Amino acid sequence: MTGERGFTLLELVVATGVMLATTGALMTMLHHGLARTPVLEEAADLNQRARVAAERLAADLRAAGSGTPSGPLSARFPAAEPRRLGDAPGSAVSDVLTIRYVPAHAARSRLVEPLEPGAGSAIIETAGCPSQTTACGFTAGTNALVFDASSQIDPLRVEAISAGTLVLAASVAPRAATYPAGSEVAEAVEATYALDTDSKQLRRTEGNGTFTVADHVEALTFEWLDARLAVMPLAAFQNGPFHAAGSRMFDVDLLRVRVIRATIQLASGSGRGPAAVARITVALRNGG
Amino acid sequence: MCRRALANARGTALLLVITLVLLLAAVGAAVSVASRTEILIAASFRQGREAVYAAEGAVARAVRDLAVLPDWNVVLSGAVRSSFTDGVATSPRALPGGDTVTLCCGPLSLTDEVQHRAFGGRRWGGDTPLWQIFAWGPVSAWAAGAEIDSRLYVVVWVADDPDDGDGDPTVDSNGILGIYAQALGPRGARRVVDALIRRAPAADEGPPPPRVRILSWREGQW
Repeated sequence: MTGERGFTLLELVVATGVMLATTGALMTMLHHGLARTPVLEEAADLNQRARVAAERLAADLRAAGSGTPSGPLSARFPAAEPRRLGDAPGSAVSDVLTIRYVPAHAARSRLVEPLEPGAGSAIIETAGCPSQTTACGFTAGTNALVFDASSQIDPLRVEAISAGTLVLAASVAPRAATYPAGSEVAEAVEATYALDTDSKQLRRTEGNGTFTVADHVEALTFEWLDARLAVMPLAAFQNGPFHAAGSRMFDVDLLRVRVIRATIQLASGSGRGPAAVARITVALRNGG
Repeated sequence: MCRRALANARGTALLLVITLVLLLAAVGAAVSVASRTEILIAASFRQGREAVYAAEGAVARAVRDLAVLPDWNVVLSGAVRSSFTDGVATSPRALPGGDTVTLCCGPLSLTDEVQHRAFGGRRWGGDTPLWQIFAWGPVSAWAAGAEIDSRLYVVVWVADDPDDGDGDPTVDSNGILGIYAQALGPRGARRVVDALIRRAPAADEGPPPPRVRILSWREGQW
């Protein structure tokens, strides 16, 4: 090692200075980057929640009112209503939406015998049903609607099946009318979107099941537009005249709805990050 | 040896530079991955939306073509197709994204898949719908002279309504037709819209062309 030349003081000072400057700049950049990471993550999460909520809602709205070969449901019944199914008929609020439709590949048939309000089973036509089905594709647990040409409509829940017979659950709302032979029975979706203000969650309820569509939702508003794209006041859905009876009685003005606009206001998970508003406007495809 | 190596000890700067470069590269890669993932999610969402609207547009266009046909049996038998076609349906098609499909017919063709999947695969004996390819082509070719910036390819099939009960899927006995449209895009994007249409009863008919009524219009499952 003898004779090895070391570093001069100047070299050490310059090298240390350069290193400090470089490291300082790097650390500053890292600090800023790391400080912004949660904000970026929250923004990404916010966008994703907005997308999921808008997509789910839009898909249901596009299907709203779709029916059977006899015609769209929306020709005789509202494709959507501004109330929960358990709310009194004629009530209307701005932050609740219930959608009704016959889904793709739905089980469906017609009554062979009249269905009385208190009847525990329905006899259905099996001729013309898909082969290898016991009761036209209905299965235990199917949610369905029974409806006739006079705009009577009631929910059914199938508890069990046998050949040509649907055993009906007594747990759903009592039927309000007697349905004559020939009335249609179709598997149906009746789904309600509403904001749970306590948990700040947008929830979708269908049958006995509820699932969360989006978290951290601050506000939810639905607007109802007619064929001229004029916003219909909620009072129009409360003042009659009313059709049908029982739990599915509805204001006939709901049949004039052609477009539904939803506004979902979302907050960041922490409450301190960015906020977003998802706004979707959907023309009802099955417009009646 | 040791003395010579120490005499040439110039590696400190190199080590420092390599360390810094690796650190910067790691930070850059992390940022890049995060932003790219978000961009891909957004692009996938946008593509999905576009595909739904393309499938809906394909159904609307098919309805327009069907509305002017006085007899739908010629469509159900495959004798008449839409005015929107992109060459012979039996030859393979290169889809956006690199996939190749055979639209029609026979095993492994898209038509064969639709035959098994539409109506949830249900069968009605002699009334089981027989899906006929009706319209196909790139969305960008939809409007002659207009520029549509889309990489999507759409295909539309039509079939008889099994409810007519005539035992023949090539004959329409009740004026009701099923329509099944697919929009296919890059990275396997695929969206389905199915609809049921009915020729308006004679009493409702206005001036020609005859009207068609939508009975159901739904985004289908694939």
